[in-house]
Amino acid sequence: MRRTLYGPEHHAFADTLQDFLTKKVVPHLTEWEEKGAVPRSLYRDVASLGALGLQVPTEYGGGGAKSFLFNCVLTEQVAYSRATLGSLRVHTDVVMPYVMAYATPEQRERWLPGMADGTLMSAIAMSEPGAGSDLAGMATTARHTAQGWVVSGSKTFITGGSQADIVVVVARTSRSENRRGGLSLLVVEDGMKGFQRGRLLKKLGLMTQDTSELFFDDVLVPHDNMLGEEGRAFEYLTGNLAQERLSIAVNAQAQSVTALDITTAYVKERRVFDKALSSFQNTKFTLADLDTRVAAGQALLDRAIADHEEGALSAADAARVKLYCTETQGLVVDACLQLHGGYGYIREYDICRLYADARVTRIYGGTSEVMKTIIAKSLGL
Amino acid sequence: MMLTPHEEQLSFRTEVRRYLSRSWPIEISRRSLEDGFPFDREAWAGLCRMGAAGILVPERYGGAGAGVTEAAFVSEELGRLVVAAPYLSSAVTAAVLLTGLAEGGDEFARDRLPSVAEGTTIATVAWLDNTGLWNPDGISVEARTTDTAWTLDGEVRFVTDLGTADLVLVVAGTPDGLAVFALSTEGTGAGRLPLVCLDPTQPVGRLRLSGAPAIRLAPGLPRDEVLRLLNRTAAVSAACLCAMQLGGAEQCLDMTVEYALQRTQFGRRIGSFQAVKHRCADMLARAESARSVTHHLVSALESDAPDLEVAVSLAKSFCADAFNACASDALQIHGGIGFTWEHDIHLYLRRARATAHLHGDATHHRGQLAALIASRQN
Repeated sequence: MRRTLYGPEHHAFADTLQDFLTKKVVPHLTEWEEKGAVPRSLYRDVASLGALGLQVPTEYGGGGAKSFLFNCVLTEQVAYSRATLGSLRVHTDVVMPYVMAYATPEQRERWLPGMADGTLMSAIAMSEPGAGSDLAGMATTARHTAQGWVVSGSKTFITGGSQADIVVVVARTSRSENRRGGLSLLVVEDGMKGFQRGRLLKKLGLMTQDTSELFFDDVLVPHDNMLGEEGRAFEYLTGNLAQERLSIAVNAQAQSVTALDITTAYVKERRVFDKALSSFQNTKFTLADLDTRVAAGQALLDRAIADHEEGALSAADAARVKLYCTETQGLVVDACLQLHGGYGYIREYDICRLYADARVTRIYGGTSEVMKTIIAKSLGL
Repeated sequence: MMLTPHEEQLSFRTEVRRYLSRSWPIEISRRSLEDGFPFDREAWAGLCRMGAAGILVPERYGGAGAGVTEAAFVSEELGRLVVAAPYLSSAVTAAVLLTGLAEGGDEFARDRLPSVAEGTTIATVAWLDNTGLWNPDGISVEARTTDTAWTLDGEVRFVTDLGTADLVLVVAGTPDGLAVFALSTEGTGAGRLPLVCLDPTQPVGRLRLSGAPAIRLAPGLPRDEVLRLLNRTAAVSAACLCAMQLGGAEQCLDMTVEYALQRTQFGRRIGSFQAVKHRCADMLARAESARSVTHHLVSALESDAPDLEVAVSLAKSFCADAFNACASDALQIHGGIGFTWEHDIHLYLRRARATAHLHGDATHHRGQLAALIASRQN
């Protein structure tokens, strides 16, 4: 189906990225997967293409784009090229919006140039061993002292956590009657005393994304490192959730498209019972069915991106899109792997990686069940 | 648990199948849809001569004294041809209930059982709640007593085969718990309202009682015993209902395979297309799984297994969905012809939809299963 989101500048950007990804990323994929992370230098290479600080204002060395469309192009091209950029999407689509929206001029000066050129990578620490999407149940605390905030607690499943130079930590700064109140954002920097990173968590997929536990043992964080106002983190976090979920949907959708491409090519080559696998009705119908779902997902997603560009994407619509695109991705990669037969189970075939990587999209950024809760609420249920 | 029917039981089933295909073809049952014909009394009499109406009634009350296995086999065969017959109401539900009451010393039950077992009296039980479920807390009929007689008040929304029943048993609340009553034959104070049903081969009516005179059966039976009997009756009814769904699902599969082997499109038999043959394979897998859970339930009843409730909910939730899916798939594979009034598939689809709700739908039973499994682990 025809897509109308992008203009010539986006297509040009896509071509540049594709060239870079195919030449500089794909050949190293296996090596990076084994290491469990991409090298730090990759982020600087991406930054040199202007792809890291897309939305960072020009005075801080960024691209100054107001639009989210270039971020979408980046995510799509990574998927279409069957490449990876590690935990880059968290840096650009999740953390940067907070810094740009809530940082003071002094903080912007301090952090944005590095964030745009890849020398200052970031992560966000929300999840805890005992609290995922239930932000109100958060147990990490920050105590106010004359010298600064004293942070203590632990966080888990932190994407980019092992490499990050700065970590935006969600901590409880007061007990309030309102379960959603009393949370604040504090920027913890690499090297601060008492800040420790745990082991790299081994995962089913997303092998090049480092995921780790973080520990805060009375870490003294200067007052100047509070992002936004005290006690308003819940509001800030929920405010960016629509874009975060949209970003996940963009990735899920692009991965589905790629899985279909890979599989369509595979079934034409592969011969069984003296015939091309593609000549069997089961193959054709399975792929036709998936292709229809994926086309519907693209139409839905593009509508949502267009709404987001106008600042009109509601939380419930973002949840609908995330739910649909990630659930569809699950169906697509499963059926596509099945069509690959035994080879699909071998890691050197791309579909194997796509299958493993897909499983988490129905979980992170809020599980499908959490999405349904949000949608149900919007129905007045 | 495995059900291993013996030779005699299997040959009985074969006989029933042969009889039905000869004497009760689907054209006869179809008349319920076309002109509201209730059921074929002559064909019913023939089936009763084979012992079907009294299959669960002990020989001393004029029955065949067989078990749930045989009763389920008959039900499966009736389901296979979507036969319009009051079998579940009279030969299963009412017969099991009356037998229990007769064993409890009730004279009325002992007196009437032989004619029920013979098939000359059609009996039914008004006992389901407003959702079509047997639920002791959902009984909406109140019984009142003067010194010598009882009267009933209330409404039972769903009573199977109410229109043709000669004997209506009613479960009602009394000051000392639930009890079973028989409505007096004159029918005073009892209004029977036939309901327009999706599946007219299994008619349902609404019973309105206002000061209806009734006889209390086995008044001396302790309330626990009454409840136990009613629960047992519900379990046997559910087993036979599942068997009926199983028969329907199997027939949908057989019809579809036959059609797929004969119908030609694009120069090939449609059964040679993967889209069709895979769907048939799915139907077979569902029908066979429905057989397994039904047999598991029958076997649990025959052996008085402690996990009867689990077996009931397992079978009732699975068979309803399996029959529904098989009937829908059968229609899809038959294409346009399957959508016509002349074709029989819609009778199966109607039966699948209607039976899914009787005695609790699949969602209800999955909920029950979840609760049972959770309580077992605690």
